[in-house]
Parts: sequence; C-alpha cells; structure tokens
Amino acid sequence: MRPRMKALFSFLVLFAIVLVAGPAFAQDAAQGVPQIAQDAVQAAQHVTPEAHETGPILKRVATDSELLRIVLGLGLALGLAVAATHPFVRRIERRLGLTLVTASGLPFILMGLIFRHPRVGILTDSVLADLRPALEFGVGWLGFAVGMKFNLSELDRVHPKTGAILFAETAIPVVTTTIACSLFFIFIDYTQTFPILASIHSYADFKRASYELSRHASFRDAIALGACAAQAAPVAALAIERSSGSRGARILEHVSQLDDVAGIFVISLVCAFFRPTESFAAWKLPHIAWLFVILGLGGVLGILAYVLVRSAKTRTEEIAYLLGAIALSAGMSGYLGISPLITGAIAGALLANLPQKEMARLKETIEQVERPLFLIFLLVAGALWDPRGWQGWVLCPLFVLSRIVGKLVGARAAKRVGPEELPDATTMGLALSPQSPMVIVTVVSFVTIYKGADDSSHLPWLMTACIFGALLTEVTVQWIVRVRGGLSLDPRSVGTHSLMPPPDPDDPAISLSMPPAPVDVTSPPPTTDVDPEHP
Amino acid sequence: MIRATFLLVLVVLLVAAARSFLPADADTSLIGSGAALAFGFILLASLQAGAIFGGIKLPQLTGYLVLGFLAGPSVLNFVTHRMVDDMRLVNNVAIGLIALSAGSELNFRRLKPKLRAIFSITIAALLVAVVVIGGAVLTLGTMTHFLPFLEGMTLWQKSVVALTMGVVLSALSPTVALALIGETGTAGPISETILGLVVFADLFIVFAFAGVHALGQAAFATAGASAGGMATEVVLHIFVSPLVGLALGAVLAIYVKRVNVRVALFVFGICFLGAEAGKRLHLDPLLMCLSAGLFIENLTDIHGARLIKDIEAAAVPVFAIFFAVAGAGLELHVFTATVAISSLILVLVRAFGMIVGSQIGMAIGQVPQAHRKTIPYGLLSQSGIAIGLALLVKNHFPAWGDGASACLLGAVMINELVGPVLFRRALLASGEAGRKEVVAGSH
Repeated sequence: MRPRMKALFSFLVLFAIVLVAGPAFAQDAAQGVPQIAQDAVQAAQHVTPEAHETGPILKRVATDSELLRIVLGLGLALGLAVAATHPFVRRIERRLGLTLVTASGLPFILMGLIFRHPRVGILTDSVLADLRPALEFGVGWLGFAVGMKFNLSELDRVHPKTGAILFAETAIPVVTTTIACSLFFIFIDYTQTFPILASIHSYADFKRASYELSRHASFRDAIALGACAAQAAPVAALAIERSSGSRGARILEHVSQLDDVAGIFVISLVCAFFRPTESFAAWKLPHIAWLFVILGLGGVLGILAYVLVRSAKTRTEEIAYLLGAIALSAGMSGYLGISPLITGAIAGALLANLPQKEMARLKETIEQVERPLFLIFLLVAGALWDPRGWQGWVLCPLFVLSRIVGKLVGARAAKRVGPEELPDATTMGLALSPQSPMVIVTVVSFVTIYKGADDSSHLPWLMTACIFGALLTEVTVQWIVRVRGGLSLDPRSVGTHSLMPPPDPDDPAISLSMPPAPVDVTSPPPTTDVDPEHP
Repeated sequence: MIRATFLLVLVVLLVAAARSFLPADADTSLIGSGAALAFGFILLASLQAGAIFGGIKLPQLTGYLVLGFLAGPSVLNFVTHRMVDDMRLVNNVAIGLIALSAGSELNFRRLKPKLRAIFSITIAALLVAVVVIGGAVLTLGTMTHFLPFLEGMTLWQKSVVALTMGVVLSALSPTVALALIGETGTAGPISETILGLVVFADLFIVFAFAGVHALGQAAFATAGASAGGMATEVVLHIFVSPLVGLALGAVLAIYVKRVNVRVALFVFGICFLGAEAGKRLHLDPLLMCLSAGLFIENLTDIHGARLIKDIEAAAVPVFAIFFAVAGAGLELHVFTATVAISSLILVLVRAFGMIVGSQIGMAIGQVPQAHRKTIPYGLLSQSGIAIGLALLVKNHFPAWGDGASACLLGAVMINELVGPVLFRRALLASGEAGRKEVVAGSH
C-alpha cells in the first residue's frame, strides 16, 4: 500500500475505533459499574473550574453518554470531511467521473441520516438547534465562495450572448419547475386550495384567488424549488471543453457558473416577498423594501469585508477579518430572517470585484475550507432530511423531470438566440442538467429559515426532492445519454470560432460520457489536477 | 487607528440596527439566539478595539476585554446572556488551542536548566500570596462592613474562608501570558520561564483548591463529596487528563506526519473533541491539550513551532473571541461600593504577595538579575481559572459564597484589566520583545 493511502486508511480506522469504542465507554461511565468511577465523576463536577466557567456547547443534551456519542460522531464526521479533501480522494472521484454530490456527498448525506436515527442519536433535534450558529456560518461561507467566483472582468470577456443563454437556461427551468411543483402542492393541499379555486366566479374573484394562492406557502415552496432548478453542475460543460476546446463549451461553462447566482437571486425574491418573521418582527416594511434591505445588506457587508481585508497587515489578520466578515454577514442575515447564502454571495461578489492585491490568496483561503465545509454541510442536510413523507418521493421525479424538461426547452431557446458555436440543443440541455452542489445548500438554507414560520408541511418534501433529485437527475441524464448513444458534440458547431483546431468528426474523443457511469469508455480521463467542479 | 475607530463604529451601528429588528420580548426560537451575529460582531469589533488599544500602547487583549464588557449584558446588551452562552463553542475550542500552543512552546530540553527556577518561583509566589491574601481577608473580616459575610463565623471558619479566597486569588492566567507573549513577539529565557511558571502554577492551584474545598466542607458541614471522592477527582483531573492528552497528541502527530492536509482544521476538530468529550468525562481540556502540545514538541520529531505556524491563522480570532467573551461575562452589578474597596485592597495585597514571593523564589532559583524585574509582572494577571474557582465558591458554599465570590470576581476583574497592561510593559522593557521571528528563523 502506498504511504499516503496507508496514512489515510489508518486515520479512518482510528476514527472508526473512536466512534465504536466511545459510546460503549460512555455508557459504562454513565451506568457506572464501579462505584468509585461514579464518585469520581460526580466529585469532579465540583472541582473542574473550566467546566463551570464555560459549560458544554451542546447544553440541551441530557446525559454524558449521549453527549460523548455526539461529540465523537461529529469528530468522526469532521475527520472524514478533512480526509475527503485529500488529493487521492479527488483523483478517484475524477477517475470515476462522479460529481461531488454523488461521490463524496452522498455518503455524508447518508451518514447524516444515520446520525439522526433515534438509535444512533448523534444529530438530534436539540443538537441541530445548538449547532444552528455553525450552520448559518457555513451557509454564509459557501455564499461567499459562490459570490467570489462572480468576476465582472471575466464577464466582460465572455461571449456577448452569454446573458441571453443564461436567461433562457435558468428562467425556463425556474418557470417549468415552479408551475409543476405549484400544481403538485395545490393538489396535495386541496383542503386549503380547492375552496379558493372553487370560489372563482368572476374576474374579481380570480384576482383575489390568485393573490391568496400566491401568498400561500405552496407557491413559496414551489418557487424555492424553481430556484434550485436553475443551478447546474459545471462538470459536463468542462468535459465538453476538455474534449473539444470549443468556444461554445466555454460559454456553457460560464453559464453553469452563473446559474448558481441566478438561483440565489430567485431565493432572495422569496425571502423578500415571503417573510418568515412577519408576525413578530419590530420592523414593518413593504415586501419590495425587503428586497432593498437584502441587496443593501449584502452590499454594505461586502464593502465592510473589503475595507477590513485591505486593512489587514498580516495573513493571519486577513483570515481573522475574513472570518469575522463572513460570520457577521451570516449572523445578520440569520437574525433578520434572510438566507445567509444571499448576503454572503453579494458580499463575496463585491469583495472579489473591488481592487485587491491579494485576491488570489483570499480566494484560495475560501476554497481551501469550501470542500470540507460543504461535506459537513451535507451531513447536516442528511440529518435535517426527513424522507418519511411519501409526498416528497412523488415530488422528486416531478421536480427532476420538470427541471430536465425546462433545461432542454431552455437549451432550444438558447440555441436560437445564442451563437453558432453552441452544441446542439439536446447536448446543451443534458450538459446543464446535473444538479449543482449549491442546490442542497440552497434548499437547506431555505428550510432552516422557514421551519416553524408557518404550518407548511412541505419543507421535508423539498429536501427529498433536491437531495434524491441530485441522484435521480444523474441517472435520468445518463439514461438519456445511453439512449442517444453518447453525448456527442455536433461537429458543425465546432467551427471557425473555436480556440482549438476543429476535431475530426470521427474522433471518438469528442463523444463524451456523462457522469456518473462511464458510458463511453473511449472518453479519456482528465489529466490535469484541476478540480472540475465546485465546491 | 482612525481606520480602526471608523470600522468599530460601523460594525457597532450595523449590529445596533440588526438588534432593533426584534422587540425585546420576541420569541427567538425561529431565528435562533443570534449567536452567529454575536460571533461576527465580537470578532470584528474586538479586533478593532485591540488595534485602538495597541495604538495607545495598551495590550490588545485589554481592548478585547473592554469591548466584550461594553457590548455584553452588563452594559449595552448587544450580546445577550444567551448569545454569550451559545458562543461557548468558540471558547471551549479556544482553551484547547491556547493550551496546545502553550504545550508546543515548552521544550523540556531547553527548559531543563530553568526547571529549578520555575519550581522555586511557583511555590514561593503561591505560598506568600496565599498567606498575605488570607491575612488580609482575616484583617478585613474584623471590619465587618468590608466583608460582612464573615460575620458570626468562628476563627477556624474565618481562616478556612481566608485560605479559600487566598487560593482562588493566587490563580494565574496561562491564557493571558500566552496571548501577550504572542502579541509582543517575545522569545527568550524570560518568556519561557513565565510560560512554564504559569502552567505549573495552574496545576498547583487545582490541587490546592481541592484541598481547601475539602476543608471548607468540613468547616461548614456542607453536604458534598467525600474525602475519597475528592482524592479520586484530583487523580482523574491531574493524571488522567494528561494521559488522554498524550493520546490526542499521538493522533495529531500521525496526522501531521502522514496526512498533512488542512492541519488547522484537524487541530480545531481535536480541540473540539478534547473540550467537549473531556468535560463530560470530567477531564480538564486545558491539561489534555497542554499534554498533547508537550508530546508533540518533546516526544516527536515534529517541531512545535511548525504546529504553531499551522494554527497561527486561527490564533488571532480565537484570542479575540476568548477574551471578548470573558469581558462580556464580567458582571457589573456585583461591583458595589463596598465590594469595590475590598476587591481593590485584595488586588494590592495580592500584587504585593506575588512580587515578594517571586523575588524570594527567584533568589532561591538563582534567576539572573536581569530577569528579576520582568518575571513578577507575569504573575499579576488573572482570567478564566480564577473566575471558574470564584463561581465554584459561590455555588458550593451558599452560606458565605455569594459575598466572597462578589469580592473575588471584583478583584479578578481588576487583575484581568490591569494585569496585562503591566505585563506588556514589562515584556517590552525586557529586551525579548519582537525576537520571536528571529528565534523561529534560527530553528
């Protein structure tokens, strides 16, 4: 075994031992067969000064064994998340052609589900409540990461029609998904929604009913799913680019990067127009004013972060300021009932686009933590996920199908308005169909904000739709690709504008296999060490 | 400094605006406690306060403390009790990181020639301090308006109370020492002696408190732990914690040597584990992480400085949050006029005891004359451990604990604010300040 693998293996084994042995040890300590041990435990409560001074973090946890189990479980998860950032794990991921969500992500989601199980009892409701500040901070960090990838100077260099393609590729899936999911929710909530629909007898009734339905949680949740539908993983676009080097593929890469921002924009509209804190907040603002508050808050925090980072004299200070700016941004958003993802993204985008000497270093700092943080986030997402509602499992294929259909229709529209270099509409639609990792962040952040805000029971279903949807989308897209006999580029589209020489149409290298399964064995594995996706 | 002031005002205004969002009696179960908001605010504002204090030649950590105190529940209430409570995550990890750094700084091979001096100063300073503080408490006890809680006690009971207060007030602060040594970039024999001294003194104080606690139980016939239980708890606390710490150190060493990816994040996880699991197993996180650091520095071929370098990025925010939260925890309402005078007297007596005791210890330990001016100032600061012990006194001795803890907390508050100022000046005057980079470079 190679030394690195050996180290990784021994590390994982060590943590596994800790996980297995820890609860047993804790149970022994709590059940206390040797009385002297219990005496010692009780007596030590009277002497350990730090314990009294600081108290446990997870204060709602009742027993010692429970807390120990939780702490060791979280320690294991953190260890695995750090280990999953090892280049070796990334290389395997790339070699198998898997996206982050399906490769490293799904095990963490499953681990979250297991940790949530009452028999395991690691990520219980009370623990999740205690960890809420950390969750907010994590979402804020990921928002910053998304925002910092939004580079205005790069936008100046992209194809002039990228905006139109982006609009078509994001707006249409948002609309198709929102409509499909709205109809589903209206049907599911028929006791509330059918009387409203039945009361329509005139145009005035129609207007009133439309307003009532638009204020209903069903519509809010459907738009949230619509926002998730916009976001696509950049892996396929990158694969196209690697294979063909076509300019069209680069446009798709830009589109897939920017549609994260589009999804966040839609979520910001939801946060402005459906306020979770409306009933008890001291501020009484019109909904449109909330949109200004959200944008303004993100802007102010971005400028604050910029001034702070610029004033840092050392690298250590720079990291401290960055941490503080992200925490303040996430904390203020959470306190005002806004998704930290939104303000984080706005602040991050501002920070990235203002003149800064050490921007590359700053981005590196953000990216270094991004992947383990994302995996930990997926663990929490798994714990927050309640897959028991059948409605979620019905909603999931509906979400996936409406999303893929939206992407395909969007691709057709994009092909019409876009440049000639774009691949054919189906290839483009399929290439942009796999879900972005940010979808899960978006939906978890949404669920966290609106949980308890009203009596909506849809929130767990949303998570089922998005989490399982990630897997289902890849399977569906893969199946379509198989049926089509590969995801090949239209050779005519790789023309005179290509940055690389036009490839031979018979060259099997331009036939791409879509992740996860290596459909086309002739597709060469990527040779560079660049991580093809984010986070 | 102007920029720091501007940024501080901006951050304060932002948070004041955000805090106006919810009415005072709002149910915050939907949006959480606002701990993330408090974390961001405390971190940014305390760093600016630190920069302002640094600009006027005061320790940055005093800036953190003052900012925390002003923003805390006692004064402006930007940071509520619940937020402070929820920020323990950072605080607990901070204790671990600080202890790990302290352990990684202590190289026994380098420290060996100084061990005699360290032990003699520790024992002499603590003994003299306990005696003079105890004496002062007894003397103040004769004037009942100063220490009214001593009224009606027998001489034996008064002596036990005096001894208990003496032990609590003799506690030192490894965190302050480490923070100031880091802030001033001090490196050399003086800082090594002080660091060793405060760590060993901490151990002695834990032992001594277990003893006086037992005496207190006997003198006031309070139901509590048995003598056997007390002995076991001390054994668990003092001996098992380092053993677990060694195991943590071994895990850390394996990780650094074999995996070596995102070491800071891994160390953060280890400290989290150490702080939370350790507490529930009734082990001391400070001792555990200290031992882990000592293990790495002294028993592996990993240089402690490398580990410190790896976690350096986390050190600034950790110190800022740690001290600001400590400041937010200071209770202004305990500081009444009577308590203020008693506390002030005890602070002066303690300083006298520490200085005289350390001078005796330095004479016994044959410390070079040049070092003797600086070392006593390292013993004046107090923080977490002393506060923890004062709260224990309050909780375990209801008959007199309230009054005594008010006095003790008042004195600790003064020492916490004034001690670092004096220590910083002494470090700057010692000639070792700013040498850290040079020494690190020479390794």
